[in-house]
Amino acid sequence: MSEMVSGSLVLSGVLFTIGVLGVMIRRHPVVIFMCIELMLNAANVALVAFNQQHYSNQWPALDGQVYAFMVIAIAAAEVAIGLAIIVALFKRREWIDVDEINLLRG
Amino acid sequence: MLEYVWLAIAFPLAGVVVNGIFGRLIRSKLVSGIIGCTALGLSFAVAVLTWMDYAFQLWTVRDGPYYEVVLWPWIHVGNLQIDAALLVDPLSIVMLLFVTGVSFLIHIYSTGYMAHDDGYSRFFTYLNLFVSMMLILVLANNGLVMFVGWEGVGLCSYLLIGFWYRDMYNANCGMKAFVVNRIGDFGVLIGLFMLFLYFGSVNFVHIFNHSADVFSGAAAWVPLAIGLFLFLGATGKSAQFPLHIWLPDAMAGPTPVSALIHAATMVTAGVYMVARLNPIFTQAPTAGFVVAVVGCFTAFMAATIALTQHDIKKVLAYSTVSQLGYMFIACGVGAYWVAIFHVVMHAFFKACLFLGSGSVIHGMHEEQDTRYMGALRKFMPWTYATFMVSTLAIAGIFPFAGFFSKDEILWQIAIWQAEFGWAPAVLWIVAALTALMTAFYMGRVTYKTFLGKERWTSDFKAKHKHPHESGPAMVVPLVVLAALAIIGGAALFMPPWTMGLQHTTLKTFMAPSTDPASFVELPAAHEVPAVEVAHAAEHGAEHGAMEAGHGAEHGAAHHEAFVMLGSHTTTEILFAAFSVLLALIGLIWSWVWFVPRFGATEKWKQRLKPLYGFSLGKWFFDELYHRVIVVPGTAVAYACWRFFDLKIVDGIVNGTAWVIGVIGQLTRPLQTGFVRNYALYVLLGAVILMLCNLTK
Repeated sequence: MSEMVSGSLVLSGVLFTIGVLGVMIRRHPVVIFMCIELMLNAANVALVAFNQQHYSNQWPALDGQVYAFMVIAIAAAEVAIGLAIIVALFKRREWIDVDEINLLRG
Repeated sequence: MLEYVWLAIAFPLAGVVVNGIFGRLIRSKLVSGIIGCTALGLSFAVAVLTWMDYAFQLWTVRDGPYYEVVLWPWIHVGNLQIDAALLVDPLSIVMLLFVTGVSFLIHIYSTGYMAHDDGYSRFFTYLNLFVSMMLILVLANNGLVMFVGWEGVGLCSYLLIGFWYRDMYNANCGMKAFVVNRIGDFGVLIGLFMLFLYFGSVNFVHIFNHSADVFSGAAAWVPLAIGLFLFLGATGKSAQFPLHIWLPDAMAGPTPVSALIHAATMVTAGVYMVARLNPIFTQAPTAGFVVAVVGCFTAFMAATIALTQHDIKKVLAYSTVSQLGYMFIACGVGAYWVAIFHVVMHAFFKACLFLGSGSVIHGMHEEQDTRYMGALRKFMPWTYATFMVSTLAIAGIFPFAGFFSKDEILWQIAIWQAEFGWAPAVLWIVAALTALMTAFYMGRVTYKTFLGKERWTSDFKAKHKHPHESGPAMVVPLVVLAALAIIGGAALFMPPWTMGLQHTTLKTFMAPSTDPASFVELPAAHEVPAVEVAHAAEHGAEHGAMEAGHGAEHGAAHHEAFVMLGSHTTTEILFAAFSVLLALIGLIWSWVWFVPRFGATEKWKQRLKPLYGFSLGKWFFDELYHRVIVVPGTAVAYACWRFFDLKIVDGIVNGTAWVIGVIGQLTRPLQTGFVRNYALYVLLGAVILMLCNLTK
């Protein structure tokens, strides 16, 4: 495993952990949303890194990179919907805390 | 033409589709009626063409008398090979002809009778469906297709008996007919299963050709059991003891329906099935014996009930039960063609009687009780004339239709080779007694309705003054049927013309289907030179054909019987004279009691009070069945509902719901409503998956 790949994977792991912790700990929906984006991008970094690792003359493909683009596209769509929900929530309340949105509790 | 015989079924079915689906759109009663009648008219035309085609080809067909029309492959699973196929042979042609013919006349009559009814197109839909189901039944070439028709007529009888369903009584009568028939259907099903078990096929031709060798290899009880199970079905459909109770209640339907059920469709199905599967009954003489005894008992029992009923349709209903008993006697003694002969003759005069009673009820404005009729002769001359002719026919007066068939049945009982020597004599005496009672009760109902003094209710007189004759749509079918009741018997028994046909009598025409000997000796029958067959046919209905053509052993057995009874033509004429004498005694006796000396019966009612009550109460069969079957059955059903249904079935369902509820309660705290908890679950899940992957 080359230096660059292992470094990228460490970066990816750190970013993902930050994202997970952010989702678990923070209460503001926009911040949670940003953390989700962080996790997605951590995954993107890992995808690209793995592609680099396996890239060779026998396997001259860019599957990892292409997949990363797909993740970006889906993340964009997700942002569109998620932000819309958040805006709608802001319209109803002054300040929102995700812990207050608990109508579906058992 | 033979391969187009399915059109006979298709036309009424088309009528069902048009009237059933578009009936509400048509709105015009005239159009609905025309569609219904045309469908049957075309069907009758197909029947006639089929008959002509077959009659002129008979004996030139080298492969035997059966012509099979395969419409489409139906069920092909393993060694179960069943096609939707029709069978054209003399028996099915005879059934086809009279079912379509009589039904056609009843359809025409219905256009008049039902003219004021709201459910006009619905009525014709059911009527057409009824006939098409009956045709499927008689044309089927295997047991399963026959069973489709068998169930179909049961369904249609239910629909038509309960036609005026707003009255709960009518609906109950329909249900009674259906439920009682279901008991018989169970027997038919078991019989068909057993046939498939032993023959590996339910195809009739296959069964006919192999019955002798299959049953010779099987235990003796096998043909007996098959025969008895099939006969159970026949008792249901043909209203024989102990399942006869539905037929008198079937009077709840409109009168044309009664005529259709009693004459052309439904009740003839049982007799037809026994005649159709006669090779099985031939292999099981004990089953035949049971058939004859049950038929004889039913004939006697129903005749005694008919003696005292007041309702004109009830008398006719019990008379049908009684006549069906005669048909089963003929089946039981092995004279299958005689049974079918009586079926056809009975269709003519009973249809005429029922339609006549409908005309009376119509003219009397829904009055059915003969106690409040009388003197209708003046007001309804056509109905009176046709009713009288049919009465003479059913009583068995020479030369009316009923004479030939009934006399032939009595004669066949006399020459019957029974297992028990006493049986023919006992059955003959009971059957002769029944013939006497038949003449008496038919005379009684005719005289009470049409002759004597007016006994109309004051209510009726105030409202309608006097009864009126029915319109031409109702009178014309009556006249046609009455004409058939006059000449039908002679035309089929000893026709004075040949029309270029070799087989002019019903007996010789039907011999390939109904003469058991012709199955055993089927190949031999074809090797007989045509001249000899023609010669045999010239000898007419007598046993020449059998001796010349088929079954030397069988013929010899019959021959011995003739020797025992002496010269058989002389004996037969004596027997015939005796049965006419009985009929005359019955008719004259009832005339004396119900016309010049009306009221003479009152003192006999007092003297024979227990017997009279027994007859008037219909032998209390309904009450007996109510106590023995309905009440315990209801108790068992109640117990099943109370314990099995409520506790076990509902318990399983409710228990499942309870378990799921408990699981839900237990896991409820997991759903906190905090998004971060859910995120934690997702994370935990992902970690667990990863750990699983690592440990692999």
